[in-house]
Amino acid sequence: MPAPVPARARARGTPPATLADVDVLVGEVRTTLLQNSHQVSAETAARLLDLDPGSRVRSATRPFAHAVSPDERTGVHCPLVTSTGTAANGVGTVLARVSVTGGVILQASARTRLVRAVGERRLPWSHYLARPGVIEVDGRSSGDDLADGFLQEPTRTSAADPARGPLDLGAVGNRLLTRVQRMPHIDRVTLLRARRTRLRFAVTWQPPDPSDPPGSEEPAAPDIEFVVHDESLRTLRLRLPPQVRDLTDAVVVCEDLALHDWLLSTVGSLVDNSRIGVDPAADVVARIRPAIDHLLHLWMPGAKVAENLAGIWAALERRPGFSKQWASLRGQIQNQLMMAILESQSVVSARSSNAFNDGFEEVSHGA
Amino acid sequence: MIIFATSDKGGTGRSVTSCNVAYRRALQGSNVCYLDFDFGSPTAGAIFGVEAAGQGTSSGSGLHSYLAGNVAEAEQLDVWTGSGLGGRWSKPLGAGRLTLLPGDFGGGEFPVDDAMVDRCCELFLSLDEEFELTLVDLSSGRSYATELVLRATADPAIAEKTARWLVFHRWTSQHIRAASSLVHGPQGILDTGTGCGHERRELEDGIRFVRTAVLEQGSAQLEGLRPEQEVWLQAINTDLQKLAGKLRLGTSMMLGSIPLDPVLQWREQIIVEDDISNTRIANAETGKAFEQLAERLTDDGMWEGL
Repeated sequence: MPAPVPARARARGTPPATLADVDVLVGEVRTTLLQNSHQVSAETAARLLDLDPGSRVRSATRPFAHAVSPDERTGVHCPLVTSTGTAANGVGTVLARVSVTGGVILQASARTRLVRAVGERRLPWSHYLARPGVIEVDGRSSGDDLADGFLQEPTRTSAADPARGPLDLGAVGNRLLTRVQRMPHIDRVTLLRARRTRLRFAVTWQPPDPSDPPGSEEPAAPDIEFVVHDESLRTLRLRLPPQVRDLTDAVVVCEDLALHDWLLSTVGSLVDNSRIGVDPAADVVARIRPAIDHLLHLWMPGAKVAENLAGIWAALERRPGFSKQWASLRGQIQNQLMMAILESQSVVSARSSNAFNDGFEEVSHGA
Repeated sequence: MIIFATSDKGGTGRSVTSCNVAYRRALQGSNVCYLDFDFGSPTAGAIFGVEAAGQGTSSGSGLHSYLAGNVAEAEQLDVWTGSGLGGRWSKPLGAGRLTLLPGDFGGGEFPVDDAMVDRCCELFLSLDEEFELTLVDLSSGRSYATELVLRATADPAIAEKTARWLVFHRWTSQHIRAASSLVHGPQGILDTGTGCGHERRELEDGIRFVRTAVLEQGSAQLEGLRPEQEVWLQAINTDLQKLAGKLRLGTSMMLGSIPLDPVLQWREQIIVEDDISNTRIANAETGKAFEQLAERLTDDGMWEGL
């Protein structure tokens, strides 16, 4: 049941009829729980993410522990899905990286930039390898066509021709996740059962507005469409102002959004399935406990996001209101904790009064 | 935890019992996924009533295609929402997830290679992130599927996980012999497992037997019998018990016993509460047996080494 949440509706400029430039950043973030019985230290996280001995794992400790692997390149040559059905093929490379946040959340993100191929013919691989994270697209599709096509749920590849499946960035990320989860540095004891979520994103840039004075300091607001499709798939369509060009920053926003969306989904489903109001609060708390121990403190939306993209989080906080929902979940959990304390006290007092009555009866029997 | 369901022969009620156990377990609050590794005849979709995968999925991304490396991810179907059994199948309060990973329509058995074992490991590990219980329904007998999972579970990363085996058999002397041979015999589970790098003793401690379609002594179904029949039945039962004990599948190795239920003889289906208390087409004992078996899967007392 797709529920589009347009943060801000905005008319787009009509695309020119001739073949315009294509510049689309597409990617997919997969988020899951690191399979370890406790949160891993910064050293362990660095060892887990050391996929390429030639480069270094980047780590940060403020505002929370965060480590990112170096980018891994994957060469691809595959068809691309377009929303209009126009045929398009892409050749190039995908960049993928994996990160550990707070010692417990594992994320893999794969992304690439779609640009129009210069010539008709496929060039030698050295050409594509020199431009990491870029896929050159043939055909006549526009950027919006490619972006919207990428966000569609891919139709399953036919078993007859499995090698020609469309670009699947999720699979690239998934391979990294699985690789990390099989490493010897973790014990693979599960803290809690959580779904792997997928956030697929496509970013394009608004055409420069001629009415803006050149060198204007005030960037226009971004266009955001965030859609929750089912329990695991989310899509994000971003149209950024032309001034905001940093691709890495844009990817960080998507990873940050995926992380917080996963926290909401995971804690939300844990609370949903904890039988609140049916079972005693102590049992409910026992079910929710892994979230209290390991997840609640990791909520810091936008903490890693660049200054000029802070507007994205601000819009998402207005609607659908991530932090409002989170605060409500926290409140629910705290209430259950209070209830558990109250109930345990009433059990104790009931027991002591029973003990008194029992003793009294015994005495009266004896008499 | 990973549970493997296998049987000596076809027609033991392995799949229908495993599906019912998965269903009961989900009702008890666990997140359960059911993997249809019966590549020759994937039927779990039909038993769960998931139309989209009645005889296996046609999407081209069933388990068969995944293991063969044709698709990056195996299809997952939510049984609570995908089941065509009607409105009574909404997810009850506090129930866990119940997810089916169907086989492929028109799949078949295939020889196992290293890449396949690796993909199988990855599948088990990623499912273990999300599900307390992974129930794998294998083809009957000595199959490639059995070899595949024995090789996969010997991988050091998977070996840390608890893996348990249920061997289903009917209560006849042929079935008892065949079940014993499937476990202890040449090229049986223990032989093959040891060859894949498992510790024989450890593997053996993780195997229990489940008797299916059992006519219980004193059950209502036996009431109409002539005295001669009853005496004969008793004598046979005693013989079978002796045989089972001798072949190492006596009561101490038995995890559960599913009574004969007419409903399951005629239609392989999930027995829901409604079938027992409202329409009364199924026996309450059958539901209880499923529920008990579901609980015992993780009851460590039932799995202590002998």
